Amino acid sequence: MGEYADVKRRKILKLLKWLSKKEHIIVSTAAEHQWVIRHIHWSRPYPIPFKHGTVSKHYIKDLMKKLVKSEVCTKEEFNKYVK
Amino acid sequence: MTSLSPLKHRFTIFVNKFRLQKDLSEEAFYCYKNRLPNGKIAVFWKREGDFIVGKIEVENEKYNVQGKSAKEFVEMVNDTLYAAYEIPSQYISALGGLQRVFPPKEEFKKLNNEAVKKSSFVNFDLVPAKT
Repeated sequence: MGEYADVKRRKILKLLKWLSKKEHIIVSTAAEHQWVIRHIHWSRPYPIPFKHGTVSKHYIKDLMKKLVKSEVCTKEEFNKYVK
Repeated sequence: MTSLSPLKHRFTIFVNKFRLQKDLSEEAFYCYKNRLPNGKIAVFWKREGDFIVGKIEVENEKYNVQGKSAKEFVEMVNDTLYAAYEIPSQYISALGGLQRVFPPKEEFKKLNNEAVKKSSFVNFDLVPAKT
């Protein structure tokens, strides 16, 4: 079993609302079915789809890595919203 | 704080389809067209439960993508690229819509074939943008 499972869209929205209050982070909607997370040190924003009821664990894992690497939050803080 | 509601976002796109189609700036169109990647786009995918999940590799960046069917997966690949390259939604249909990049025929057949559990494809066929 991997560390993360697929996450409901409702939980992702809570996570994004929390992230949008963080310094250097901007969260918005983009394209046709995506949320995007922008950080001043990332070359490109990170897209997460809202088309389906659940979001794949691969998005969660990669987003956690990016956020922890950029010192936006800790892994434990992040896990509170997705577990 | 900007609204994160998917419903509100979809409604805005729907309204803009009627209102802004004629107001697109030609300069902005070419700017966004050149911003999108025209080189190698690689997609690695596998089936996981009800979903086809994959990874797009383009210009040293990696993006995740998920879809429920082959057609939707391809649409989501395009949608992800538009989001990652910050293309405003009113320019999407002019730039080729959600079918702008499309896998080769045999690769699309594999995506449709449930017996194929994972595969990858590079160098999508590019649909020329409407000028």
